[in-house]
Amino acid sequence: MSAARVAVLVFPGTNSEEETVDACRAAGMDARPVLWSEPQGDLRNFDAYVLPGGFAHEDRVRAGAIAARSQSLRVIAQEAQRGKFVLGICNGAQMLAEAGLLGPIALARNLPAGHFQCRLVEVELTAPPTRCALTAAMPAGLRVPMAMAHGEGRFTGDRQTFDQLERQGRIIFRYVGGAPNGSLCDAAGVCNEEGNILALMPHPERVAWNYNLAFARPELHANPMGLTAAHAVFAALAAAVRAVA
Amino acid sequence: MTPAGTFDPVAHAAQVLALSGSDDDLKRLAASEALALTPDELRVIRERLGRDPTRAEAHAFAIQWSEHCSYKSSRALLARLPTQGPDVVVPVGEDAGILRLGAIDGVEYCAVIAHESHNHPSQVVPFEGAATGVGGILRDVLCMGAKVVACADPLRFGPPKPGTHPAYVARAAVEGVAAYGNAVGVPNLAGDVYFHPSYAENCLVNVVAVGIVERERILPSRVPPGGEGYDLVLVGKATDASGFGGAAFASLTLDAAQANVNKSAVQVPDPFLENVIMRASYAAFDEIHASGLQVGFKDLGAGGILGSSAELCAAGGFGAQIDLDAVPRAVPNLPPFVVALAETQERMLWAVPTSFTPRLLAIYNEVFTLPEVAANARAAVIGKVTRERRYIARSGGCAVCDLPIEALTQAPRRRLTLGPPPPAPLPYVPLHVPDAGDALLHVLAHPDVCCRRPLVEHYDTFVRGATALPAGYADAGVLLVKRGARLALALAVDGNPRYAALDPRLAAAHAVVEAVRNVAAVGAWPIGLTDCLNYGNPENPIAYRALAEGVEGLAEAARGLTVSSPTGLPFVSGNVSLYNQSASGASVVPSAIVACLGRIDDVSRTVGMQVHTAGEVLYLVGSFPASLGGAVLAEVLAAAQPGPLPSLDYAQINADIATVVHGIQAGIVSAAHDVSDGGLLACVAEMCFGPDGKGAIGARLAAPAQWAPGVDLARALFGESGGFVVSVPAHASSDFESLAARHTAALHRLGTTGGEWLAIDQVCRLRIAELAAAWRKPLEDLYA
Repeated sequence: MSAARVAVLVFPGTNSEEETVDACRAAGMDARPVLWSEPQGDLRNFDAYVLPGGFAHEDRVRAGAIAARSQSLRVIAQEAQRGKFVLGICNGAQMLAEAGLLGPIALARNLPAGHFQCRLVEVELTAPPTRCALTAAMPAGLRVPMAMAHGEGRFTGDRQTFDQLERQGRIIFRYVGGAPNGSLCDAAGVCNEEGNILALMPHPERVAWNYNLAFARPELHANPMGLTAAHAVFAALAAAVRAVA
Repeated sequence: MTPAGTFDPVAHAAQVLALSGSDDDLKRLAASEALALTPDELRVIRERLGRDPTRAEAHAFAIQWSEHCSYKSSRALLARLPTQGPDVVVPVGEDAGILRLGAIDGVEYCAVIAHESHNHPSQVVPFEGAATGVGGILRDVLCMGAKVVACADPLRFGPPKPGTHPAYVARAAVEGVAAYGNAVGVPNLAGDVYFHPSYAENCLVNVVAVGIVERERILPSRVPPGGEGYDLVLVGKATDASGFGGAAFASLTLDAAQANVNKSAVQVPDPFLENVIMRASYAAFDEIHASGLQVGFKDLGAGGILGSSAELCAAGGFGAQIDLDAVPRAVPNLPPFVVALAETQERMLWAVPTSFTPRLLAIYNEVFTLPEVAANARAAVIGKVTRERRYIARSGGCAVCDLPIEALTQAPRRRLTLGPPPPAPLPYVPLHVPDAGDALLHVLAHPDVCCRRPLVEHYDTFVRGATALPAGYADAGVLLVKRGARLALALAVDGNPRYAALDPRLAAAHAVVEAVRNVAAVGAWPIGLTDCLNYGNPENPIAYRALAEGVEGLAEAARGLTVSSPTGLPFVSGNVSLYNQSASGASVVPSAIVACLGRIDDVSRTVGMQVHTAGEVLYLVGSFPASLGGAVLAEVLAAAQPGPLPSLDYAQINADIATVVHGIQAGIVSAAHDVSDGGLLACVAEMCFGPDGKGAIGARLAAPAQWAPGVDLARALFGESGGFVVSVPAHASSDFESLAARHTAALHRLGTTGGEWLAIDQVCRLRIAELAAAWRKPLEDLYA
């Protein structure tokens, strides 16, 4: 079987495409960056899509708002309706929310800080793993270190919406010890109803290798190029594509 | 013909200015034309040209001969700095210096490093000033053909009393640094912040950037041999009037009443556009390398199009013909000399063979769609490289500037008066410490010692996924040269204003030693240095003396630190920022700020500052200073006579550094931290509670009489700049002691790790949690 073909979308202002492509490749996927100026119809030839971090279109209007209305997002939304997988990380998660692919929820300015915050966080897979196709290959309750790096990462919406998210088990990842950005229900990652689109605010790809985390966990020095628990996000995406192939 | 009474910008630019008359006449002319040139300099222009200059030419000289561009006041002094060494690939002289790092899979990789200041703009409009400082330094690294991988920001502010301008500057400058670096996607790897009253009206915002380039892909900041007839291609933001006269502005002193006028000289940042320009440039690098083309590439900095095109061509031994009407503009009716000299940000200049020009334009304009990214941003041909070494700029069919190119790029040196040496401080009188525990709590809460997390959290430290030790987690930041390979680099900055206030020469030497120790403390071999010299008005003999002393101190330390190479450490890049004084005439303390780059062959052999295991042995590798001059404790206890700065014994320092680096690389040191601000006890406390203040492993030190016999308590516990504290697993302690003996390091066994207290036998005992709380608090409100 050939490797999963993954498009890592690059918008003007995207800044995390390289390490995202590397993290996908380390999970055995055939990933490449796809520039905004490339013919967007070609996007249909991929098995899965990763929307990486950055400040697409300068985060004008709102974070992710302009990219969410691009031709490439329309193509990806159509492909997702056909069951393909979409992972949005940070700015990518903001695009998914702005595109309405997660329902009536938004990613708003961090509270109480009100500014960009960068720190190492721990998130937990609190939903049943199979609730979201992109986490089906992960063990229940897995705790994963990730790099939070955003100013507008607070999942928010009205009470009924979040009650429904809870009922439907769509809050896939939560911050351990409380959300540093004021997210409702401590949400760090939320999926769509069908479970094939995952919006994740903290970055797994920035701490995907042991050398990224050994400063906090010196025992990881023993195998610096090994993959961390955060990389499981990409391994699980690869497994999801394999499962439908 | 222009109707009478309307403004004709070309005629205005081409108007001849008569440079004759008395000093007073010439001063009046300079003032009315806003030319930052002395009467003598104006006369040299006339001499060199054999005629009077046009207005455009006079402005070109004013900018190219500013200190910022020409180093006319400092060049003679800077010649004292060592610049060569075994790892130097591109020495001082281009937009950035380049050092060899090592080979990965047979390909040799180099680090590109540049260091600049953006002090004056940051004082006037701190967010924009700091942001454009970052943008400029990233482009200095980019134009060497490198991928930009890290930045660092040494910051110096006035005391940030809530509600005051210094507090606003301290907050807004950090937000500016963050806004730019975060958006572009360059991690902040190192930095520091100090507060001192002398910066209240003149902050210092220094910026350092690092890039990675394969050796065979380095691009020169000059037109290559055979470049006659090359196209000059301007890339980036549409030119506007922003930053017009910026370099000259940097060479004026700040006056609050002038601040609003000066705002027009501050540039407007667009990190979003820079992000796209960087990625487009990487694509261009790939194609240029694949086709084996020889090209030149340069950032547009001081002096805008004129400054960069003149330097790019003159450095290659060529001339230039520029068509100012071909420059994409943001606004109509810009006078040609503003087009030539404005310091609009996010612009670069290529010199490429005409055969490659269409492809280069397509990469920027079509593949990376610059015109859609920002209004009228694009790549455009604006001129040609010529064999004749003249600089000719045309507009409206008229040569508004037609000069021998070297007349412009070789400023006359200034003769300045050296004041007397600064007075020597009074000798040290032993300081009585009534309560060491209480003193430690105050030292940890001192603004120069306390927790930096609230500030550092504004910066993206993990983007690019190559970070191994993020900013703030150790004395230096560490990142991989290439994801997947173990070769890594380390970066640290230093420059202590409390030291600078006492002794400019020794303070500069300490800045070098501290930056080098910082890099060593993570297990890296230091391989090169950069400096930014932030001083007062050189026409003031005392300020000029301080500059001369500072350079002497840098040179002495760089030559003395032979731990990596018998020739010492080279300075590969740097910047001089003079006129750092307020309208009241007070200079900032003489601030030599140094960055050190280090090499780590195996990233798995790095350590941070935090103790992770109980039962390890703590050692001081280093010695106790003979005085408390410049020490935080002296300020905390208002010492009457703290004495001079600690002296530097380079043989001892080299031995200590070699011991620590070898110990880390051998895997027998598990944590290391240099003894700097606050002294030994603060250093051990920070190792216990760790960089985020959450660590919980304490330490018990023996009575100071055992490890510091004959040293008074103040110097033993709070003396600064003495070396390193390292934590060594008990089973490795004898190995470490023999290693130290082999290198003749000064070794003192302090005690062991464990418990929830920091306890010093017969002196004091405090809970780690209490120490951490005192340390975490002070900057929380400022940066929350």
